[in-house]
Amino acid sequence: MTWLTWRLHRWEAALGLALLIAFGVGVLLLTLLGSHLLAQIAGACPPSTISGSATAVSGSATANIAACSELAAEYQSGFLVGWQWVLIVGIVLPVLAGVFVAAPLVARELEKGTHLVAWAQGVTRHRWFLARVGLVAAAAVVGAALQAAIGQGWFAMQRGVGGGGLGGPSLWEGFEIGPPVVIAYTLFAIALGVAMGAAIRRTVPAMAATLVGFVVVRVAVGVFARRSYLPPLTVRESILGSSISLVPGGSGSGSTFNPVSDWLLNLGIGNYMNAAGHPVSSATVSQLLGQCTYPDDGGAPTCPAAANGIVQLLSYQPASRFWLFQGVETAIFVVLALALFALAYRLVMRMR
Amino acid sequence: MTSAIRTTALGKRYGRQWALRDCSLQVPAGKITALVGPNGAGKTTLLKLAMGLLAPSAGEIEVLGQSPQREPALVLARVGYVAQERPLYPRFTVSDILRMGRELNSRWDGAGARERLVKRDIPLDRQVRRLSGGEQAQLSLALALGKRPDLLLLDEPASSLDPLARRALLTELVDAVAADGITVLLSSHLIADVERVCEHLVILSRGRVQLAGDIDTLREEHQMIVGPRIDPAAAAADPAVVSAHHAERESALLVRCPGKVPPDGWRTEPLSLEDLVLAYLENPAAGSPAPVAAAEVGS
Repeated sequence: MTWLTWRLHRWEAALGLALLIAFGVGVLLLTLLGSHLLAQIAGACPPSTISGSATAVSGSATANIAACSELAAEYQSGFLVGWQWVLIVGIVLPVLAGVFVAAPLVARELEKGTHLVAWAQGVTRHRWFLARVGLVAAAAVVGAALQAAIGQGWFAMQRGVGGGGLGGPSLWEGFEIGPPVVIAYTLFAIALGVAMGAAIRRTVPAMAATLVGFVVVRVAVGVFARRSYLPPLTVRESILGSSISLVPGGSGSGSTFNPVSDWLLNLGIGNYMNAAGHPVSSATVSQLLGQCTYPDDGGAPTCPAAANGIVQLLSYQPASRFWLFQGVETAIFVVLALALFALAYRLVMRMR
Repeated sequence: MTSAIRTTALGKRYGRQWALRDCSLQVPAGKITALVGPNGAGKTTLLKLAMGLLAPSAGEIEVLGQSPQREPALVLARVGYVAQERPLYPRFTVSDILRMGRELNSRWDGAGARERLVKRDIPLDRQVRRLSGGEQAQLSLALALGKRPDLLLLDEPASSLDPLARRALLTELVDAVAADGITVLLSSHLIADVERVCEHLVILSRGRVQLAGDIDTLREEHQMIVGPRIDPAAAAADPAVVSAHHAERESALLVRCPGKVPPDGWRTEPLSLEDLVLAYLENPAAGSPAPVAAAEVGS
């Protein structure tokens, strides 16, 4: 069965490898192009700027700030291209595997009638399924691990050199290219493809169903489920802060919010409270802020006294939970994948 | 008589439609048996049931003494099957197909399969989709024979082939069977092919067995007799009459009267296998139950 599986999927394997190589080369080129600029940034900008805490800039470093931010802007525009590239490829490759490799795996056999040959040889259908699906899934997992390693290596480098402080990716922005979840997404895509193929029995509809199903589940988990794997921590932020100034509080006993590494869940959304702890409407807040006067030198604004003491409740997931959340999301997709593999197996064994 | 396939009240239903119903038959070992019947009679269903590609809705089927459902590994290892459409992976070369046979079958006879194809001038490096229909049929047969089956199931093996390719394929089949003593069950509606190749005949009609027996025996038992016109109702009521045609003055009856001489005033006329089969197919009610005397002649 190993040979037959290889013979049936060799072009797909070659294409997948080519895509991975192209991805790796692309990332390498981006790295080389960016490294010159990063070296300049490292020279021009004081370490405190790079560390990411904007409030910590001291007076002696002010002279460098202008040159530094110019370089940073240049770097960011180039960086964004790379970021999109890594993110898009990271999201697209698993779904390609599911749609073009897994969905036709059973469906094309049934559509062309070749299952009547495959299932009439001296190999039971049980073994046929385990070998075909197992080998394809294993190869896809290896490919996903390579892809995740490339993406993650690049991502870690951006953050390490100071991308974070310069407006580069925050830790949580890279959640969906984390190695565990990329592998789990890929396994899920393969399982979904095989199951759709076995259920629908026609290649193109099965491919479409796989694409739709994958996107729906990924988006649903990413948008609705992920933020609540654990109850978020909360802090209060003054609405007058031009830079972020924070009062720790709420459930985050003792912890502080770090805008670079934590995941802010309700940016720009209501939850205003006055000093007495009573809720304040968003309309009131925007009306008060509209009355502020901003001095020309960029100094602190002058606002109505009523605005003092109004805070916004921010809820967030701290950086310390990142790998726990990776684990939870990985587990969700692996369990979904196993359930779909089991469904596909039952469907294939019952085709009688 | 040992049986390669034995079915008892076998039935297969798709939704509410019975493709095969109450089918009890035995396929004798070591012979080539033809499965004949109109389209939709259940021939393909029966062959797929025997291969374990379908599961029975009712009754039992035993293939080489095993249940294709409960012991798929044992049945698959010993039974060769060529489906009606002769599906093969179109982008595989002939060599790839043979390699597949080797990888998936424990008793694979690679040399024999290759020799069979070379003898027919089928290039081993050509892709399946570039082979002619006849060559594809030969390749499918070579794949099925390559696993050294004890039983070979062929669904319309010669259909859609030109006469030369058909003859070549059947010759190949007969040679292989003669050499290895394989049991063959093949479905066909080409009676001429059946007559050339087969020793045993099963007529399926509307999902039931209408007639089964050795072809020579069946021919001895059946007679076409022509005599003075008789009452059509009387002819229809006689269980020995398979079919009757009544002209103005004469009646022509196909009768199953083993060993009997026609009555005075009646003459026998030559009866081809095709006439015999068609008579049964035209009269789905005929043939069951089989006349008692058949057993005496057969023994």
